[in-house]
This record gives sequence, structure tokens and C-alpha cells, in this order.
Amino acid sequence: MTHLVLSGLTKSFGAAPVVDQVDLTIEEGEAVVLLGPSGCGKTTCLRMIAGFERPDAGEIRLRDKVLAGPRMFIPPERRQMSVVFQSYALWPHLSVRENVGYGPTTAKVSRPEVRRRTDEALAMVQLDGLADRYAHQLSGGQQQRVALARALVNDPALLLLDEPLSNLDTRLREEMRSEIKRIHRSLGVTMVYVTHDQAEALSLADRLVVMHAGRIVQVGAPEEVYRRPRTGFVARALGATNLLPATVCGPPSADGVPLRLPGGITVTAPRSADVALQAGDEVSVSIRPVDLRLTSGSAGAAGGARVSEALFFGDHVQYAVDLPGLAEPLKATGPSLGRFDAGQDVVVEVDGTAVAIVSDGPGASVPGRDDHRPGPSATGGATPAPAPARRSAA
Amino acid sequence: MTLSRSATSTVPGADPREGSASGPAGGPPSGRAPRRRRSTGFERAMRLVWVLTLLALVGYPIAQVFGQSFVADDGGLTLSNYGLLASEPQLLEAIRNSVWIACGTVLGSLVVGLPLAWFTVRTDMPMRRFFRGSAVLTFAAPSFIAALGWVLLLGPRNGVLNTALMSLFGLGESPFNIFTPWGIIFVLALFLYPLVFLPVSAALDGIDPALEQAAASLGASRWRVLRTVTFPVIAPALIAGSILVFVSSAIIFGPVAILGAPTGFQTIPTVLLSLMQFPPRIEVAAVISVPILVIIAALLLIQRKIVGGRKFTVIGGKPGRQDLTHLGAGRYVAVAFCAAVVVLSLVLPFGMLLVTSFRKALGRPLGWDNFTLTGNYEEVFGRPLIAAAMGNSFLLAIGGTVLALAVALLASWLVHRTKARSNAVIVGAMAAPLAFPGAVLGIGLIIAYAAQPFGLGGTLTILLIAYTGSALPLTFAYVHAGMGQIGAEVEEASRSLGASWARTWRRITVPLLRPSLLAAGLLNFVLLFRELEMSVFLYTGANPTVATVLYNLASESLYQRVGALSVVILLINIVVTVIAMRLLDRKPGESTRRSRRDPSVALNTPPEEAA
Ligand SMILES: Nc1ncnc2c1ncn2[C@@H]1O[C@H](COP(=O)(O)OP(=O)(O)OP(=O)(O)O)[C@@H](O)[C@H]1O
Ligand SMILES: [Mg+2]
Repeated sequence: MTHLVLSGLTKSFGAAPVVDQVDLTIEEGEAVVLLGPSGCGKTTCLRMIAGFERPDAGEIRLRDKVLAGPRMFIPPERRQMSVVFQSYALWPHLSVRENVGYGPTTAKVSRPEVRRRTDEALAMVQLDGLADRYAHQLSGGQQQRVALARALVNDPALLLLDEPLSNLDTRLREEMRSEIKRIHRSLGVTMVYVTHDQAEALSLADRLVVMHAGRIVQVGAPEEVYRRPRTGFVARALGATNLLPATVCGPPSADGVPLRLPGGITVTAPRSADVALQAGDEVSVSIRPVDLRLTSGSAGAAGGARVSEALFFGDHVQYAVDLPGLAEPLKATGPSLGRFDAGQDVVVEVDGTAVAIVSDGPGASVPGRDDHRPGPSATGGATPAPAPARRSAA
Repeated sequence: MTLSRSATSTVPGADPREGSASGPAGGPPSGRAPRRRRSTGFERAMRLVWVLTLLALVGYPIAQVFGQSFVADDGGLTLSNYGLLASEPQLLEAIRNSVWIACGTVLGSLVVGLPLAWFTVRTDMPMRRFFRGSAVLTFAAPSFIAALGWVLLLGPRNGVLNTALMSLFGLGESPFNIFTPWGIIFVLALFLYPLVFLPVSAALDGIDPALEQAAASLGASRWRVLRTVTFPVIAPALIAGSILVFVSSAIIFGPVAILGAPTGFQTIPTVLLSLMQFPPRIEVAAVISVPILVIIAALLLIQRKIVGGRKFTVIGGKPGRQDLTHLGAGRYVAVAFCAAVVVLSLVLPFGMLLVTSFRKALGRPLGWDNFTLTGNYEEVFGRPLIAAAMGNSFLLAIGGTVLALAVALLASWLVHRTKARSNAVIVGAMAAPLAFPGAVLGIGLIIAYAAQPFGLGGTLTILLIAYTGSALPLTFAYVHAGMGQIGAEVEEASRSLGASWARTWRRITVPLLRPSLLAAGLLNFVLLFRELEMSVFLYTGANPTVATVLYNLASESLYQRVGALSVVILLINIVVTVIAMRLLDRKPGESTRRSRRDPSVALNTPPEEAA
């Protein structure tokens, strides 16, 4: 059932729109993750849904009830949404129990019922023993759990989370991630989750929304967005990737699009829904480092290349590989058993199904200019680098 | 990240009207007029309330002072009033006296404050915390009461110290006379030195020891380190503090009035008072006020620039982090110096008043036959005038405190939770009364409200206006800082859980502001309860306050009663301060933990406020 609808949602601070014509439909019980680089308007979007900001234009509807529109604004306290803030925003003058019980108390629920619900929520986040502590007597992870319990206790129509895990260390973050996943599954609460961490986004989302400079650039199941990014920007938002120039070297068919990659590698890539192609077209493709396979071989063959750098990470090895015809080295990841060393000649093999043809939409960048930093932070800001076609390999 | 977010983001939703104006039971109030405009309308209304309040409290009276200085006898505009400055030697004399008292006090404060700062921060002298705390206490003590104590100690005829010294050394005449400019400087320096001491010790605290160690490791001598590293770091604090001392001592009324009266020595505020006595020469008072306002404003702006918006606090430092200089036997000299400061600024004057409050007669020597436990107190409390003054002072102090808190809350809300370019103006305007000497504000209020159509002359209302206006800067400083600690998200979390704007304020915002509100409120109560500077101008004989009564008792030389009443005022000060510490100590939570560790936070006046 359709739960929340954003249509044409727009908000500016000053001249430039921060959220620009956002359309999104969220189904009941769904976990939707907004992913995007810093400053792309995720928080602003969330705050408009929560009612902390008024949209300049557009409409927000919850279960067919207009929350915000041209002549309408429902204040946050009557939207039945709970927000988990990055800063937790726990009230320091109230105990854990009082923090969590605030919602039901405000709703004038009877005392025993408040207590029952509070205990239930605290049990849900495994904080049973700490009800009488104050926020400053809790660890970061525990504070996060209190914030979560406080949001859940109200049985919200929508649970909004704004980078809730970004103040935790890596191990705790992983733990809380699965915790949130578990809670979402067991309560079936509809959830909008904002993050710029790709691992969080991919593992938590039923549906992933990638944003850039105030606009939605791609929406889909996490796996679909990961495998078939529509633009180079989306591809990089979801992890390290190689963005390469390629040439369509034959007529596209039902099997896919035959492509010639730099270094003379030929593959058949799945068709891209966005781009109608014909033989001779030049395109950009995204290939994840794990989808490049290195085998030993000589420099002359198709895909022949030389390892310029090999970094050992225990369970895997990251390579930088110089492929003729490419200015920047390719990134590849391989098993640590039977690894190659810097300076060795290798042959790069590519599985065609792992190749995604991307358009030079917003945020697409110069092919080959990607780096090892995961996530979208590498774009460094709201202005996407224009993508001059540099088709050296053709 | 969180910080910058809460600083930039605002809450257009934080609008009380939204909670109440829409229909019952949460149904969407469809088809009404656009709410967008209504909400900004509420903000605008609040802004207007704030503007009008501030205009009424300080803007209009100060404007009246300016206006009055340009009004001729026939009601036309003229600059000729300023000619009076040259033709009345008494005025120029007062200005010269003010400057000379101010310069002397600055020097005196440096002589007292700098060594004290160095001893307490950078040496291994014992009891450093105690001496630091007592400097804060000096602030809370009323300077004109200290001056009364010194009259009893160093008065030329019966001063207790004088007679003791005379009999000790067999002198023929009193060695000291407190009724001289030197006496005034002496008393003022002992009262105002914390304005130098506090910022300088904070700056000393803040010096990264690595800076000095680095210089020393490069072979710099101790003196060279002091000159090239330490001094440049503390110089801004020192200059800023000196400016505050200068301004404060140039315009302070109480001690000068008490100590200068016998010889007719007048400074700016006392000459202003005499101009306001019958027959009042308001235009002359206005003429002398205007340049003073301008100069003080300029000096305070310079001071702000130097401080750069930083607040010096005694608590801010991390004592023990520094390399402490080992004084060796010099420690005893240091302790003696610091102890002398405490004795001279607190123990002697206030102790003397306490002793005097138990004396039957001033002329006779101390002794059991001259002792009365309750006689003077009965005398004081038996008089209906004093009982009325007590009641008035309580009422006015509480009223002024509460009103100032309300205005400060409104202003902080506007600054922190709405966005408008004019918000910076609010911060400036709330601090502006610092630049208005009590005397000038008092005169402004008289011009503005004493006559018809308001007819408030001599009423409690005009005193309440005065107290509220003068309490604004301190109150706002606390509330504004407190509000800055409370992120908007803490309020938003409450709203999203179903609490209306009003409930969010009641349950979240105000409780979180509690430490700031309490600290500001109690400190203001203490300061307003014994307010003299403005009261003496506004007093017409009808509505006495404790300070004006005390001042009049002193002019009549009824010193046993002065002692008794002073002791009562001091006791009330102390009791309120103790209550403040207790209250600030009670509830758990981040914001109060700091004050639990060090209760003197409650008394930690931002330095400017002492003026
Ligand atoms: N209250 C505000 N006033 C002015 N500009 C704002 C305000 N709130 C956000 N912005 C601007 O809007 C843009 C988007 O901000 P937003 O907080 O939505 O980004 P975000 O995607 O959540 O980023 P992050 O990942 O860093 O949290 C930023 O450029 C920010 O500077
Ligand atoms: Mg954000």
C-alpha cells in the first residue's frame, strides 16, 4: 500500500535550491535509504518530511493525507513521525526511562501503560537494565539505542533516521546496522534512512534512492542500483569502481551490447535501459574492481597489462594495473592466495555481465579519474565534473 | 558537524500558533489561508514585541538624553547647551576628576591584579584556589558598602585603624585620610581589580605550556620567555581588563559619593546627581552625559574588539597543566600578598561594619560596655521606612530579574530559532545598556517618564523599568549562552514525538536552560537588591530602597545603623548565593555537572557586567 508520497518537493535556502523537484513514493513497511554526498540535500528532505522545514513547492502526503502543500502545513507534532538524529538529541535532564516515555506521556497515555511501553521499547533495543541512567552516563552506542527506543515507542507511522550511526566506531556501527535491520523486520515499520555510507545503504535498504545536488538520480533495489548504475556518479556512490571509455563494436542484440574496452578487451555487456546504442558509439562503462580478474600472461595479448602496485589486505589484495591506452591505472581486487607482485605482467579478464554502461548524467566524471576512496565523498561537492569524452582506446 | 548544523538550521515549524491554531484532534485544517505567512507573522510579532520593549526600557530614555542636550530654553533646537561645558568650571573639574580617578584605579588594579594572577595560576603558592575564588567573591560584594567600611577604618578623626596606628606609633595626627582622591582610588582598586585579574588569569591558564617550553628549549632566558611569549599572549586580556576598570571607575557613583562628599570632590556621576537636585538643570546633565556615552561606547567597542567575543572565565582553565614556578621561600611573600588583598578588599571593610553594628556609640572605644547585640538591629528594623525599603527592594529585585529574564528569553529565542539578518542587532542591543552609566540611564528615565503624560516620577514603576533595563546585558549573556548549548534538534525530537511548541518549551527548553536562568536570575537579584547608582537618581523620597536608605544613613553619619543594615544586606546576598549554589547543584544532566564541580560558576560574572 502506498504510504508516503513526495511530489515535486522543492526547498531553497537563499538562491540555490537545496532540494529540487523530488518525487518519491514509499510503500508501507518499506525501508528506503537516501544516499548521497555531503550537502546534497538528504537531511533537508528528511526534515521536510518530519515537518521541521516547510517546502517551497511540492507536496508531502501520508496515507492520502496532505501533510505539506501549497496551502497546508501540518506541524511536526501531528505527523506521527519519529526522528532519530545523528546527534541523538537525547534530553540530558531526563533519565533514559523519561526520555523513552516522553512520547506516550505527551499523548496522555495512562501511567502503567507508559511504563509497559517504555519497558518494551527498552527491551527491544536491549537496554533493560539502564532505565534510570542519564544520557551522560551511557556510551555512544547505548545513547543511540535510547534514541531508537524513544522513536519506536510511539509506534510511528514513519521512522526517520538521519545518519544515526555516523558517530559510532566501525565495530559498533556494524552491530547497530544489523540491529536496525532486525528491528525493522520485526516491527515492519516504514523507514526512511539517510546516510552517506554505502555499506549501510546497501545492507539496510529495501529500496535505495541516490541523490545528487538536490535531485534524485536513481531509485531501485540495492542490488539493481549496485549492478546497473545509470551514471558514473551512482556507480561511484556505491563503492570503488573503474569508469572506462568503451566503443560499441557491433550491433546490440538481445544478448547484450558488444563492447571494446581499452587494451583490446571485448565483452558483451547487458543492455542499458537509458541509452539507445548502435555500432560505433562511444560510451562509458563501470566495472567494479572485484569483477576484474587477473591471470598470468604476457604483455602482448588482449587485456595484457602490468601490475604497478599490489596492496596486501589479508583476505584480499588490491592492485593498480597499467593497461595500455589508459592514462590512469585500473583498480582490481584479487584473492590473496596466488597473488601477483608489482611489476608482473598479467592479463585482465572481464566478465561481460559485470559491465554497466553508464550515461554521462549528473555527476558522471572523466573516465579513469576515479580513486580508491569508497563512496561519493570523492566527488567533493555539489558541482559535478563535466564529462569530456576522451576516447583514447577507440 | 552537529554543531554547525544546529547553528545554521532554524525551525520555521517552531511556531506556537501551529500547535493551537489548527482544528482539534489533528485533522488537517484544509482550505484555510496559507499558513506560511501566518507563521512568519508570529515571528514578526515577537520581533516587534522585543523592539518595543527594548525601546521602552532603554532606547527611549537614552534618546531623550540626546534630545534634551539639543533643546534650547524656548524649546527649539540648539547646540548652545554644549557651551555650558566651558562656562561651568564645576563640570570640567568633574570630568578631570573622573579621568584621574580612573587612571589611578587602573594602575591600582594592575598592581593588585597582575601579581595575584601570576601567583594563583603560575606558581606553587599554597591556597591558590581559595585566592582565586575570593576574587570572584569581591565582585559580589557591594563597593559602596565597602567604602562605608573604610570610612570607619580610615576616617581622619575616628577611623579605627587610624587611632590604632596613632597609639601604636605615638603619632600626633591620623596617618591616613580616606576622604581624599587617594582614598577613593584605594577603595575602587580593591573592588575593581577582578576585572584585570580574571581575564589575565584566564589567559595565563590558556597558554599552551609547549609554547613557553619551546622558547626555553631554544635557549631563551626566563625573562625573555616572559617578554616574548607570555606577555604577548596576556596583553589583550590585560588591555581589555584595564579598559573595563577605566570605564567602571570613571562612572561609579557609590564609593565616590561617600568618600568625596566631605571635601566636595566630584566626579561625573556625582556632579550629575547635584545637577538633578532642586532646581534641576536637566539640559546641563544631558549635555555632559552625551560625550560620556559616546566615549564609553567607543572604549567598550575597542575592548570587545580586543577580547574578540571571547568570555573569560575562571573555570575555563585547566589548573595544574602548566609548569608551575617554584617560589621557594618566596611562597610566604606571595601568600602574604594575596592574603593582604583578601583582608583589605573583604575582611577589613565588611568585618568593620559587622563590628560597628554591635557598637552602642561610635565615639567610645571598642569594649564590652560599648557592646549591644541587637540594639542597632532593632533600631534598623523598628523603623517603618527601612521595613518599607526592604519590601521595595525585594519586590523590585524580583520584578526586575523576572522581567529581564523574560526579555532575554524572547531575544535568545529570536536569535537562535529564527533566521533574519537583523538577529545580530539583537545581540548588540541586549548588551548596549553596559555602555550606559547608571546615572545617565537614571537621568534618561526621569526625562522620559517622570513628567506627564507618564507621571512615573518617584514611583516603583520607574525603578522597575530602570532595574529591568540594567539587568538585560547580564541576563542575556547567560540565557543566550545557555540557549546556544541547546541544539534545535533537542526541541525537534520533542515535537516529532507529539509535543506542541508550548509543551516543548515547558518540558525541554526551559528545564535545559534552568542552570542559565537560575544563575542569571540569582546573580541579578543580588545586584539589583542593593542597586544604588540609578536608584539614587530616581529616589524622590517616596519609595525608598535599601541602598538609598543606607546612603542616606551614611550621609547623616548614623554609622551603627549603617553597619546593621549593611550586615543585613550582605547576609541576604550570601543566603541567595548559597541557595543559588544549592539549586544549581541539584539535578543531574550535562549542563549542571560543570557547576556541581565548581559552584563559583554561579557567581562568575562576565567581567563587563561589573561596570
Ligand atoms: N537552515 C539552512 N540554512 C541555509 N542553508 C542550509 C540550511 N540547511 C541546509 N542548508 C544547505 O543546504 C544544503 C543541503 O544540506 P543538507 O543538510 O540537506 O545536506 P545533507 O545531504 O544532509 O549533507 P550531510 O551528508 O553532510 O548531512 C547544504 O549546502 C547546506 O549548506
Ligand atoms: Mg545530513
